[in-house]
Formats: sequence, structure tokens, C-alpha cells
Amino acid sequence: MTGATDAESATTPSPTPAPLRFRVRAAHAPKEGNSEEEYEDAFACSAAEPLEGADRLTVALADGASSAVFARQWAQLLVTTFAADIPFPPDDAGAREAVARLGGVWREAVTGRARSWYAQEKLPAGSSAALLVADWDGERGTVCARAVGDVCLFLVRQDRLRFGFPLTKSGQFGDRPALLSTEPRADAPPILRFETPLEAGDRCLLMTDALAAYFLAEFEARRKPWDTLPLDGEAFAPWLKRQRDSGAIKNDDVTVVEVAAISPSGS
Amino acid sequence: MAYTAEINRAKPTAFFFLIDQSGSMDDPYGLESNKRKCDAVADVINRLLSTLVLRCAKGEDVRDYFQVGVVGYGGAVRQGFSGPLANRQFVPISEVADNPLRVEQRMRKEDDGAGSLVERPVRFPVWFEPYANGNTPMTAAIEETRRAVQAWCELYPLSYPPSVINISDGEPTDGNPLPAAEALKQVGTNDGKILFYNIHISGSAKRPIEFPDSEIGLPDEFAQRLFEMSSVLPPRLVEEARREGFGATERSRGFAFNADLRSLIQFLDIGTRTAELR
Repeated sequence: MTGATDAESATTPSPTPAPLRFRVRAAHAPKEGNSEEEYEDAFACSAAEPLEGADRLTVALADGASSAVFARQWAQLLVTTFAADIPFPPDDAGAREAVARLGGVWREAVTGRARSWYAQEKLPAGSSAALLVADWDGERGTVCARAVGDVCLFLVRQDRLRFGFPLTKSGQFGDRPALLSTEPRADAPPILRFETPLEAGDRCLLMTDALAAYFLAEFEARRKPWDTLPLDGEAFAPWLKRQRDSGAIKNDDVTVVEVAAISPSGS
Repeated sequence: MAYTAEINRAKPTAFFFLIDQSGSMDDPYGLESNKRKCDAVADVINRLLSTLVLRCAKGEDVRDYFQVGVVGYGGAVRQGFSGPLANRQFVPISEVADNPLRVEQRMRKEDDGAGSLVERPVRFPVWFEPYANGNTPMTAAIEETRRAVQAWCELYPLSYPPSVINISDGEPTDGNPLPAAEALKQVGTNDGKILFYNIHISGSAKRPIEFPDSEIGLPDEFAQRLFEMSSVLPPRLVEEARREGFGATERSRGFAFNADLRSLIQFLDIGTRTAELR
């Protein structure tokens, strides 16, 4: 597996001969002991249902910081905006401007809801979330991702893990990831970018941190977590419980989105 | 490995405060001439409780990751909370959040992000008023704490162990508190022994000290005894303290001189941290 930052081939995409189509599947679960209303990851997809056969696609996945105030609302605002409303700006300055505008939208939405002394006291610090936004282009045969923090994209090709972005080792995860804040900051973390050509049969797996750390730890143990990760709702919950109970996956909100590249004939 | 239990609502951790309310706390506080020691103690406990609440506040929702107990000692040992929380031994943090006696507005100096300090009004909830009366039964308060914390640990054997924080000028009147402190430090959960912290509020104007690794340099025998009573920080907290900029070593103890130890609340892992909460 190659990290996106040191993969030369990843930065010079070349079109594939035939246009690709994409199929999307997703699974998620709140932290064990929490309700669905307390789930602070968020994901959104640009394509309409049934999410199969789209030739262009944007998926945004965010993880609201658990120590922050109204983090669920911030994560949801980020993903719905960048998946459906506006394209993620191509340059850093444009991206920071767009995030700052959204910070204003978030503030307007939550200010009236902060009635207690503690909510009012935390509100000036704003909220924070890790974010990954990825665009798939079937005509060009590419995926282009931008990330702040520890939400990850893994590209599996021919039963091999080819790329991890932005993190490539399980030891890189911690409790202080880079985050996008509602408040413009002089020390804002960099927005990382990654682009690579795709082939029919490729699977892109987007994950929030707890699952991504597990995925990389399994890979480092010479296993193939992409083979054993269930993506249908019925199998996902019991599988996740087993992994949490064994300590393999940290008890946190968990979200995975799979985007599979298929040829127009469906293979 | 000890001190690694996940802190969540099913397995909360506890903070137990011992507040010195004896007559000697009416003496002047060293760092600010217009304050008495009991004013400094009230500020420390109110600020620590506020920090605990803010750590768990998600908006209007405060998640019960922590439970809080308080005893005061001045003349006698008594339950510390008053008002709606009176006579409760361990109170979930959400109830603490919603039941201060009042919320004041104070000014706080903060970094403006461009290298200067600006004053910002902050909400300052008050659960404890300054109080100073009678002798100092610190040993009895530690023994009472051991009983309360022992019972809590039996209820939550899988939890991260309680943090016990004694705020005092270090002048007990009921004998040497060291044996009681040693007995208290033997109590624990499956995840480790309780952590005993001591905050020395002093009449000396010497600069604040946090997490020292030796009694050398502490200003007097009272500070030295409180240092000796304090737990050695477990390796994980030493690591956290270093990340937060403290010069902690593997011999550092949970002791502060004229400081509030608010940082130790940030050391606990209850999820992703933001820059503002560091």
C-alpha cells in the first residue's frame, strides 16, 4: 500500500479507456451506549437513490469532535453542503472562505438553542469536525479527495490495498486530529489532496477514525480487512459488536461508505 | 494496563473534593492581597466544577461521564453541596451543571490569537461560597472520603478510578494525615488505584507550581506534607502533562501550589479533543 503523498502515479491521473459507473453502499452505527440522535459522524452523497450506476459522484464524510459543542450539526452542515450544494473549492483560500461562511450558518442555526450557561460559555469556541470530500468522475476515470483530519479513504484494487489517504498507519490515529473549525483560525490545519486513476473493479472505502484505525491495523497484521468488512445493515451491527467487544475497534461512532467502480456493462 | 478504562455513561469516573473550610482559611492569600485563602479555595472548586461540566457539555446536553462528591472540613466534616444538591454524596455532572447557586459574570484574560491578551466576559457559576470557621479535621475528612470512594468503587469496579482532590492550606489539627492518605490511596477499581491530588492554597506569594517531582523548592513544611500525601502520576498522565507543556517526570506527583489543577481534567480521554479544550 502506498500513502497518497508519496505515490507519484497518484498525482498524474490518466483516463481509462471506457467510462466507469459507480455503486455506493454505506453502513454506520453510533458509539455503543449512545442513541442514533447522539451519532456525530455524518455522510452525504450527491447521487439520488438507488445509488447505483451514477457516472459522477461526490461523497462527503465528517466526524464531529466529541469535545465540541453542537458538533453533530456542524458535521451535517459540512457534508450536505459539499456533497450536494457546492463543489469543494479547488484552492485552499477558496476552501477556507467556504468553511468560514458555513461557520456563520452554523452559528446562526445553534445560537438560539444555547440557553444554559454551559452551552453559552462553549459557543464562542465554535465547533470542529474532521472531513473528507471525494469526487468520482466516470468519464475521466478518476477519484479526487480532500481531507482535514483522520477520516480516511482506502483504495482496494485486485484484492490489494493500493492507497491510504490521508493516513497510512494505524499508529497515526490519536485524540487530537486536525479539525475544521467553525471559527477561522490563524493556525488552521492544511487541506490535503489526493487524486488517482481508477479501474473497473476498484473499491474505495471511506471510514471515520475508529474503523480506519482498525482497518490499517488489520492490514499491518497481513490480513485483508476489505474481505471481511460487512456492508449490509443486518451483518454490520453484530460484526461491529464483536470487534468492539474484543477491543479491536475503539468504542466510537463508526461510518463506512464504499464506492465501487464498475464498467457500463456492470462488471 | 492501569488507567486505560474508557470513560462513558455506563462506566463513569468520579471526582471527590475535600475543601478546607477551617478558620485559618480566613488568612490572606499570598498571590492576591485583596483575597483570603477561603476566597481562593472557592474560586478553585467553582472553576474545577465548571471545567468538568464544560468537558461534558455537547450543547444543551451534558453527558454523565463524571460523578462529583464534595466534603467540607472546618470545625467538623460535612457534605459539601448546598441548595438542591444538599446531602447528596455523588451527583451526576449533568445535575451539577443545572444547579449552581448562581451564575456570575467575570472578566477573563485570553490570548486573542495574535499574540496579545484581551479581556472577555465569562459566565462563572458558583456552587460554593467562601467559608472559614473552626479547626481543621483533615485526617477525619480523608477517612470519610475513603469510605465514600470505597463504596463508589464497589458500584463501578470497571470504571476509571476516582480522582480525589484536597484543597487546603495544609495545617491539620487532628494529627498526621499521612497514614489516612496512604490508606485512601489503596482504594481503587479494576483499572487502578484512586488518584489523590492536593492543591495547596498558601499565604506565601511564591509562584504557582504544578506536578513537581520533588519536595525540594516547595516553600514550607505544609506544602511538603501535601506533596508527600499526593499520588505519583501514572505514566499515561505524565505523558498527557508533557503534551500540555508541563515539565512532568515519572516521579511527578498530583500536587499544585497556588494553582488550580484544571489541566488534569483535560488529561482524561473522553473523546476527540479540540484545540480550544487543550
